[in-house]
Amino acid sequence: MLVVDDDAALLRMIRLTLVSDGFEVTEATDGIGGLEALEAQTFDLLVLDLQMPRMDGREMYRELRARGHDLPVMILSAYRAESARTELGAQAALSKPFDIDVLITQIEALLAPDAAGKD
Amino acid sequence: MPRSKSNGARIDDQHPEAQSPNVPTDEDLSDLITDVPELSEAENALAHLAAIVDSSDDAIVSKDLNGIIRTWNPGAERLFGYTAEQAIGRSIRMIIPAEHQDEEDEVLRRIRSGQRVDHFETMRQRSDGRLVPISITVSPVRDRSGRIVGASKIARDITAKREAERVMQESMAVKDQFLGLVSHELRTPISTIVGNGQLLLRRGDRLPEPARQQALTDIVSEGERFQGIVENLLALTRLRANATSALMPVDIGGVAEQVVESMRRRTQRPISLTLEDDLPAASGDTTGVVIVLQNLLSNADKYSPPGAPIEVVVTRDPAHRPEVHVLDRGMGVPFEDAAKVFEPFFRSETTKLDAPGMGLGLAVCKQVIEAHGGSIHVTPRSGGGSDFNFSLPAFVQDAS
Repeated sequence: MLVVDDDAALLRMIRLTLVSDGFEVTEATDGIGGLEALEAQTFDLLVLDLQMPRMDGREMYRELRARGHDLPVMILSAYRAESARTELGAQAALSKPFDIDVLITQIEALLAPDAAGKD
Repeated sequence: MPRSKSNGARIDDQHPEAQSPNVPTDEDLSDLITDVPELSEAENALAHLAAIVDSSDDAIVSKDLNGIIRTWNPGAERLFGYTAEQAIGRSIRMIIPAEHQDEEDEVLRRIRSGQRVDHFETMRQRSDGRLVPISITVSPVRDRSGRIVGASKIARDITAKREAERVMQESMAVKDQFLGLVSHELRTPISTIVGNGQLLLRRGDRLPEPARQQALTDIVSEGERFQGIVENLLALTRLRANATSALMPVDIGGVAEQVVESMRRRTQRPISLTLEDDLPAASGDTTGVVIVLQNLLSNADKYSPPGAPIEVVVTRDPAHRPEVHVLDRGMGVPFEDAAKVFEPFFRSETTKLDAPGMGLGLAVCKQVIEAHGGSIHVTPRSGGGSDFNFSLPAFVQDAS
């Protein structure tokens, strides 16, 4: 999966958590890097921060949908994550700070086969 | 509507008092309010009403069913800029901006059917062309037989209200932006600290040793970052509450040694400290000066390439005031940003890309230093990097 967040320390923590639970993780630190990664490789899930330099999460979300990428997206934000999920039409939202096991549970739910048609 | 049928509410342009452009004085008014014995009761009541209309701060205007102005009080003169002479006999449409003309059709339609228009907020145009936001209430005026013959209109200038609404909206937007920023800046390090703690507790046995060390290192450094943000927010709050502590002698060399030593423990890069002999004590609050130096050193560390040295020089300025320089070999501050870097929440396009932060540190430094009566600047260094420097008044023992 692809994780996009501008905070290096937080990104390290998320990667350690996901990798220790057996996920493969690619990282980007802003929307532009995130879009480049999406063009280069296919991902089953995107975990996306909102407040980032250069290109923020909202802009990246709209751009990736415009480009036809239909992978599920989890918004990960310190401020109004749920309202951003509704606004953008993303599949899930998690507020910072979060419990790492809630992160894993939500990711597993999004990747479950019956979650494909979930809005 | 029995109220509008009463004689008292009828606006009658046979009474010139109602059109007088002069604002009555309190004396005039009390003369009128004290009944004049030779006038009938009805005449007294009319004179009384006319005085109220004349002295009203609101514009009170009457018009016929074709929208032709029949009366125009001094309040209307002040609000719309036309005298009664200029206005009476002309269409009310002269004060309605082109894009609001259809409102008058609707108002007249309602008046003809006996309805009121209550506190309708719109724009009107003054004689000088200026637009003014107003709230209007329009009621039908009936003759003695109860037939609707026109409308009375009370208009109030709501410029102040609109301005208050605008200021309120702006401050809500600023508050929202501030909350977003603080949430992001405080919750991000907490996420890292809590997440790494959970990771070590719940999956520690599965993590390789370097990953465990990394998680611990990040807990410590993010805890320090969190502490720095909280200290800055508290310092700003204290400064805004004007709670500057009493000015005491500050051993500026001692403060520099203490802050440099704690910074050396947090970074790999070399930090040198040069203290001039016989430095004068600064006048101030030691906690405030420590916060300033911590911010300057933490910025120098944050924005310098790995390994680039930081130099701290404590000296005195030409006026023999203690002066501190924090010299780095970092990215430097573009000339156009040199003043802006000290504004709260300012982050230059390059710093946004380089390191997290909320643009509070330098704003705190400037406010602390200026509250001490000192000054703070940034100047470019030859060979690259920045010289952030501040001076403080020397402590003078009060003879009394």
